[in-house]
Amino acid sequence: MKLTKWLAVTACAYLCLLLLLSFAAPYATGHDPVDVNLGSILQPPRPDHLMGTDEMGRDVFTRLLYGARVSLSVGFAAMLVSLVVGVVYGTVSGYCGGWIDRIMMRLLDTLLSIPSLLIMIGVQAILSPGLLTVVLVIGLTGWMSLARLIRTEMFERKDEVFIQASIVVGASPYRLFVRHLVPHSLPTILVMSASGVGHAILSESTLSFLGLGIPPHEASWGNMLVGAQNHLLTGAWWAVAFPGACIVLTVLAITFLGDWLQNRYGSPQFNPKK
Amino acid sequence: MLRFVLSRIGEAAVVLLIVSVIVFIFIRLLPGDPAMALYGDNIQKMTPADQLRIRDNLGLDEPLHIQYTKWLEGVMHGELGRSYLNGEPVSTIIYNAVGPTVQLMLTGTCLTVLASLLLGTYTGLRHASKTDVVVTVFSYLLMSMPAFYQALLFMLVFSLYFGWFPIAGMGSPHGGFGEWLRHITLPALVLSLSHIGYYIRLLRNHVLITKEKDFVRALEARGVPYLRIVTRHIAPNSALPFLTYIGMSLSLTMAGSVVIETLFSWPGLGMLSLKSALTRDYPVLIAAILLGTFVVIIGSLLIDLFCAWFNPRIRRQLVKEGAAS
Repeated sequence: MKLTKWLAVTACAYLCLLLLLSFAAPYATGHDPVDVNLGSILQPPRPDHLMGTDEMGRDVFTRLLYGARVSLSVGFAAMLVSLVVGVVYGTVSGYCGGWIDRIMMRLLDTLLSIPSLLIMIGVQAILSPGLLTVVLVIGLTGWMSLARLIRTEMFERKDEVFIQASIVVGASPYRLFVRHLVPHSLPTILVMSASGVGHAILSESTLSFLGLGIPPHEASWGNMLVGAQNHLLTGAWWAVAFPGACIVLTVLAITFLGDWLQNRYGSPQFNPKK
Repeated sequence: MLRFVLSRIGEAAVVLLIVSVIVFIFIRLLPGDPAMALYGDNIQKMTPADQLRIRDNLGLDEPLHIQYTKWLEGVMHGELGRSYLNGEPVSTIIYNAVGPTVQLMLTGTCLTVLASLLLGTYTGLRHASKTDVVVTVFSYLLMSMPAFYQALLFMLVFSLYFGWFPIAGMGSPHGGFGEWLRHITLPALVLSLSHIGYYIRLLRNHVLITKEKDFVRALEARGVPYLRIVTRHIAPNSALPFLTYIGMSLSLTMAGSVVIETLFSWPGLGMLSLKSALTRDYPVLIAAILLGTFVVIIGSLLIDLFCAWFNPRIRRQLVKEGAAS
């Protein structure tokens, strides 16, 4: 228990540092993230290039900081998209019950059985690649598990007395959702959104790595790994190790935060005694 | 028993039908129009009357639901069109790609089940021991590392540095089992490792809960050997929800295999779908998505049936019903 808390504090500190550095990126480094310098390609780390340079002579450290902006904002925005869809879908399905619930859950099962990456590849083939597309694609393929959890909670909650009471005094369905049903699910929403951000960051890096995500000239953590196979062959480890470490550390930090939230606010059935 | 199996198959069929509707809508959303795809730029040289006649022949002026049933009929007969790239029938391309994907997913899932059963049960029993700490740290690390990065690291270490395994491909089809094994080891290992962290933790938590239950204490009090309690009581009880979960998240395994197939040049559905998406080869892409989902649904169905058989409560009830009817 103590360890979880300590890890959460460290994770929080790391994330704050990362946010600060990426906001202050222009002041933190003297280089430009997209400035190609063919005179100094694949230079190992040294004082003026803290983490070396990539195959276009761009500073890896600078690209990491600017990439953090893209990767983190994709992570949060995609999480928000799936949060909205998941909560609305789960609430409606759980609250309505009956045949509406059955149809909605059957549809959910179907959507869950289509591999998300195949949908992402398909949708990316239709829409032009870009930040917004990536956010929508990741967000719209990640809401199902949240919807299922919310639906189960709604199912149990809708018969409680305070809900019945507010129906009796004439609360509209909208007011019921916004003021009574959804606020009571906040702990679940909070815990799930932490893991959602982690998932979204991993998905973004995978999509960009495969060439379906953020356009290549823009810096994102996945983009920085596009030529990774070649770098490993030529021994340019710095161009692969640092972006990779950034992804792993950030997702790890978010996971620890999520675990702490789960311990603190999560429903007890998922919490075995530590 | 038969009724249960049939009802599950029926459910899977309904899911497949909905998937086909979704995929059909997806085709309608694709850029370009099928007449254009068939005749290319020549269509601009035709008179409007000719264009109309072609659309009429292709059935493009019919209502959507009739188009859908016609399309579905074609799919059932294996008519998936031809590749835009080389004119090969899509059914042949897809047919060659399904095998490798199924092999990879099967090997990967077996590895996952075996390893997480062993490690999850062990760490759950020896809670807070050194092994538990090491395994937990590794499962967290694996959970937060993208699959493609793990694949890169494994290639670097085992293919380039040690040279133990080939870096890509499936080997020649005449190489026999040894060559196949050498080629599938790394992809299957990465596919398994990229998901295993979560499963180990899931099983560990279930074992933690199960081992405190009253029936375990009663068994101990009666003097049943510890090993027997673990293998016959704690492990099966914890493995059931875990197996169900594996079946539910088979689509995640499929998604993982897309990345891993691409990196290891494993000629399966995943590599095919990515390649066709990048070259805008829509008929192949659609077929790959459809077949990929099909594989997942069939796989989940099989695991689901296995779980029902594995669970004595359900099995006995089903056998009893079968005897009665």
